[in-house]
Amino acid sequence: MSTVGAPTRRPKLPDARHLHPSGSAPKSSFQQGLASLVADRSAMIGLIVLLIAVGAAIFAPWIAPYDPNAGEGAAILAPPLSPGHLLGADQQGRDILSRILFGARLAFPEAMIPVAAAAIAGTILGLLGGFFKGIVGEIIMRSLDVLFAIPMVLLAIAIATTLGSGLPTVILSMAVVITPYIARVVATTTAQIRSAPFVDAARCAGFSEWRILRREILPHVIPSVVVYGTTNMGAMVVFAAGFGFLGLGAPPPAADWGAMISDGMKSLGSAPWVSTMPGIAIVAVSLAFNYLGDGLRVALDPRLRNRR
Amino acid sequence: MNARPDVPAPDEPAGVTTTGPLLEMSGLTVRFSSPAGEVHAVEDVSISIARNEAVGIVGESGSGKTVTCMSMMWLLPSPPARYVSGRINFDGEALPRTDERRIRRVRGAGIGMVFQNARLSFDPAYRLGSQIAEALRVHGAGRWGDVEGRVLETLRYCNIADPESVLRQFPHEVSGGVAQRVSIALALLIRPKLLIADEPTTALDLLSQLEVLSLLERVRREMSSSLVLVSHDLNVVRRIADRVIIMYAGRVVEEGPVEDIFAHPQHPYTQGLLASAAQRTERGRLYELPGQPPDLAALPPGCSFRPRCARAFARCNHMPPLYATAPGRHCRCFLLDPRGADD
Repeated sequence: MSTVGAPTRRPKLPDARHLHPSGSAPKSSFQQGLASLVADRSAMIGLIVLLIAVGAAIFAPWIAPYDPNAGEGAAILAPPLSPGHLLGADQQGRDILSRILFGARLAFPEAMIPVAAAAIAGTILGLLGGFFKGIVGEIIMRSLDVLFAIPMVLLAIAIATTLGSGLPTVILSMAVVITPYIARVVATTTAQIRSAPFVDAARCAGFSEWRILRREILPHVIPSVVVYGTTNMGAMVVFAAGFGFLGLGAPPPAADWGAMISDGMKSLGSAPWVSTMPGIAIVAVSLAFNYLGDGLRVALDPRLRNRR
Repeated sequence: MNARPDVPAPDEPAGVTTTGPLLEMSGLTVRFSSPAGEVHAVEDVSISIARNEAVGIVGESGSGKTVTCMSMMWLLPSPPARYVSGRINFDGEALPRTDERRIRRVRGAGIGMVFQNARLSFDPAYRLGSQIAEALRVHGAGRWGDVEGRVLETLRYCNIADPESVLRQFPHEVSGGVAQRVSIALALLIRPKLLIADEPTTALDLLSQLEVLSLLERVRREMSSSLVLVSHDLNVVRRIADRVIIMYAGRVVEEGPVEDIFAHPQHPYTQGLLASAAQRTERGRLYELPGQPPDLAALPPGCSFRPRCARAFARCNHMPPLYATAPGRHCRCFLLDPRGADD
């Protein structure tokens, strides 16, 4: 059918500008959402923290005062605010600030790639599982249940140890572990929406099941995926740090926040800053993701944002 | 209401190829499984709708009106619904439940539907205009630029004063009455041979009800399509329908020409229904049909209306058949048995 394959762009609608005496067109849904997000203080703080952190990650080689992996004998366990080492240095005399900046280059991909991959896989599985009640849906949902039954960390470690340590393994195992969660969120939303009157209406206007899935269900599911993904990005930063802490992440000399905490454990009594500084970085980034996620939740829901 | 503009885009009269009934549904039985047991939503319902005919389906909530209507284009998802039996012929062709391509062609183009809560029948994520455009595109009506004029004209025809701005609004930004008129306009744009209106006025305030009703009347007069009007309001049905079907507990209990039924109701349930719809009894009090409709998961044996029927007798322990009582009239009650009630 040629009509189904027609371009999906919405047609241009008549301009209603003349209806508004001020001469301004009514705000689009996107503009309203953006305005709601900008007005949300904690979301903005989260966004700013994340922008700074992403900037640090990108520009680390230029702004870091030292080579993150080069130790300096004289600086071993230097406390914070000591000359030349703003955040102190670790047991090998490596500058902690430089290592945190370079660590951001690992932390963001480690958190974002798995979430992005899981968002795509989970959305597809959840849509199919929630929409097609029957054999297809049952198989998908029961397989996800099996994954749920295994504790998240255990499953991730099992995958990581089977495939060997290293960054790609961490990313893959985290993606596998989060997928069922996103799929369940999507499946629940899908199951709710599939019985909505407007889906019946679309069906009785002659829409095919695939078109209903794409045009009527998917748009209502994406906001929850975005919100769930963003909010969980914070947890994923912590999760990835956990991998580093357990020595399953990027191999040793690399500046990984989790591995840095683990390194600092040995001198936690005498030099607490070695563990604490990367810990603060993890908390800051993870909180920032949570705040931004909450703000997005409001901004993406037309009913919530108008109530504010 | 002012002088209305011409009916937009007058096509050639619909359905000139065949002369039989437009829709023929026979032996429809639909059940749902529920924790309380199997719900017998619709039992052995046969309905025939002629071309250009307006049929009213009347019954209490849970009498199977909506399930029957939705089944006219196999719209109920299965599961949870279970189609036990039933065949449909539409426009002279069988419409088997498995033939998804044909069903999809019939939906919209052949049979259009207007829902009780029109606002909920639009997707809240899109502006009304986008949804109209998409529905038209599904039916191959072409690009927005080609159909825009027709859309605006049809909306104005449906008493929408400012169609340009309504098209730019989201469903939650318009009133229920406007949404209902937009959905009728959409049905008109697609020009189905059969328009099903499922309680189109129930969710509206009185003024909007009147407006939607007179719009439906006009649609019916001018569009030469068949209409199925589902309602629990007898006066609404009386105003629009040619023929009325009374349903009780998932079965047709009486059917016939609308004025006949109003003048001479045969089934005790219909008599009760008309009595409660009348303004007052002689003693100045509102009449109320005693009792409750039965639990569809645990129907009493025999006639479903027996527990509420003042005239029930021994034979009512069996389900009465639908007797043909007069030309065009049917009634499911042993009192109307042509061989005598006490047989």
